Amino acid sequence: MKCGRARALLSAYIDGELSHGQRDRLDGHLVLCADCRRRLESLRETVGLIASAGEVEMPAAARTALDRAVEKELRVVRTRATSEISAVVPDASPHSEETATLVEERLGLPPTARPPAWRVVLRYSPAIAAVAAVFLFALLLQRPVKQGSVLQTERQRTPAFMPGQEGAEPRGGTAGEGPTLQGPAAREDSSKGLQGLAGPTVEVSGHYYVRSELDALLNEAERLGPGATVEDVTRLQQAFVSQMLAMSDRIGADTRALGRGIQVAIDTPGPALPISATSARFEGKPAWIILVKWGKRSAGSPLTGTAVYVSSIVDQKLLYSRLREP
Amino acid sequence: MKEKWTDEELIARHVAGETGAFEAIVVRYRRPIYNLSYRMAGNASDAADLTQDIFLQLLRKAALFRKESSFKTWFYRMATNCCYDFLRRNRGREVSADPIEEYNAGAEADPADSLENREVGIEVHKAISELPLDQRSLVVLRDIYGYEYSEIARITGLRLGTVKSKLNRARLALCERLTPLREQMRAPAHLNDGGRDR
Repeated sequence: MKCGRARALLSAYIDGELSHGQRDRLDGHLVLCADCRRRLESLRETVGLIASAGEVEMPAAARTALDRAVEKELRVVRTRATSEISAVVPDASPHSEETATLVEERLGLPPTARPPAWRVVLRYSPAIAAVAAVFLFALLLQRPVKQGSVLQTERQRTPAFMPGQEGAEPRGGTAGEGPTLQGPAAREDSSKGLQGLAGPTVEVSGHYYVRSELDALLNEAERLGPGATVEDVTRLQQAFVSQMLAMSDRIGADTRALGRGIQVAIDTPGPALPISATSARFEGKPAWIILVKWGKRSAGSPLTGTAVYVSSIVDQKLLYSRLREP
Repeated sequence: MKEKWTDEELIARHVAGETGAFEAIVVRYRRPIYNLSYRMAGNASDAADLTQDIFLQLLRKAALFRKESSFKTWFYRMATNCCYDFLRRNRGREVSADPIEEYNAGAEADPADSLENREVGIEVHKAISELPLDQRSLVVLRDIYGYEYSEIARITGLRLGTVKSKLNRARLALCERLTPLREQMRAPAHLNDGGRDR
C-alpha cells in the first residue's frame, strides 16, 4: 500500500469503519511507515479535540423564542380546519369505486382489486336507471333546473358545518337571503341541498373518545342535511373526499391513515357521504373518527342513515364502527 | 408527558392530536438541534433562527413520518436539509459576531466549564466553521454526535464511500488548522503561560 492510499483510509481506520482486508493492509503499511504513523496520531488528537469541544448550551433567550414560536404554530395547527366547497362537483358517476380510486391515487396507495365493469353496471343498474329517469324529467323542465343549479353554487359559498354547531340555518328558503325558489325549481333544490352542511370538516383534537360518546356524534350527524338523498352522494362524494384529504394535508395530520379510513367508511351498505373526520384518541389509541351519512341503494332514498368509523392511525385497522339504518 | 415514550410514540401521539406530545419532542431535541444549527451556521444568532425553522418544519411535516427509518434519522435529515437551505439563502451575508462572546453566550449555565475548555471549544468551532458546508455536517454528526457512517449516509443521503472520503478530507483539513492548538496542548503547562514562575 502506498502512502496516498493509506492516508485516505486513516479517518475510517480510527472509526473502525474499514473492512478486515483494508485494515490488515493498512496495519502492514503503518508498521513500515513512520510518516503515516505520525499522521494517524495527529488525526486521532484532532478527533479527540473535536469531541472534547462537545455541545454548547442553548442560550436561554433562544429557548424562550423557540418555545413561543412553537406554541404559536401549534395553536394554528390545532385550530379546527374547515373550508368551503371550491372543487368542481363531478357529474353523476358510480360512487365508491371512483372515490376509492381517487383516494388511492391521491395517497399513492396500491390499487385495490375492483370488480369487472359489467358487475359494476349490474350492481348500479337500478340507481343508473333512476338517475336517467330524473335526467329525462329534468330535460322536460330545462329552465327551472338551471335556476336550481345557480342556487346550488350560492350554497357552496356558505360557511362549512362545524361539529357542535347546532340549529344551522337552512339556506335558500329564508326570506331576504338570495333568490326565492318557486315551483318545480324549489322541489329540485330541496332534493339536492344538504342544509347546514356546506362542506366536510377535518379536525385534529386532543379529545379522548370512548364508545358511548360516539352516539352523540351520530345524533349530530342525523340532524344535518334534512331532505338530502342518495343522489347527493353521487354528486358530492368525490369533492368531499378530496377536500378532506387536502384539509388533512394542510393541518399536518396523517393523511394516509385518513384515506384508508375513508375507504372503509364509504363502503357502507348504501351510498355514503363522509362529512367529518377527527384525529383524536379512541380508547387510548390514536385514531381517525370518521362520520358518514348514508342511504339505501334506490333512487330518491333519503340520506338519513348515519355511521361512525374509528380507524387506527398506527396500523390503519378498523377499531370500531357503528351504523344507524336510514 | 411520560419520559419513557419513544420519539416514534411521541410523534404518533402528536399527530393524533395529543396535547404536550410535540412539546416533549422539542424539549428532547432542542439542544442537539441547536448545536447542529450552531456548528452549521457558525454563529448563535443564525443558530437560534435555524433551530426555530427546523422545529416549525417538523410541526408541519410530522404526519409525513412513515417509520421507514428511526424518527431521529428522519428528523436529522430534515434538519440538515433545513440548514443547507438556510445557509444557501443567506450566502454572502456578513455576520459580525465575536466568536468568544458567541461561544460563551450559551455557557452561562455551566460555570464548571474551564477557561481552557472554552478556548479549545472556540478554536474547534472556528475551524469547523471554515469547512465547506457538506463536510461540516459530517464532522458534527460523526465527531460530536457519534453517528455510525451508515447512519450518516442515511441522514445526508450520501453514499457510504462518499461519507468516508469527505469525512477524511474534513478531518485532515481540521488537523492542519488545529495544529497550533494541538502543539500548545502538548507542551508542558509552564510553557503555555509564558514560563512565569509560580
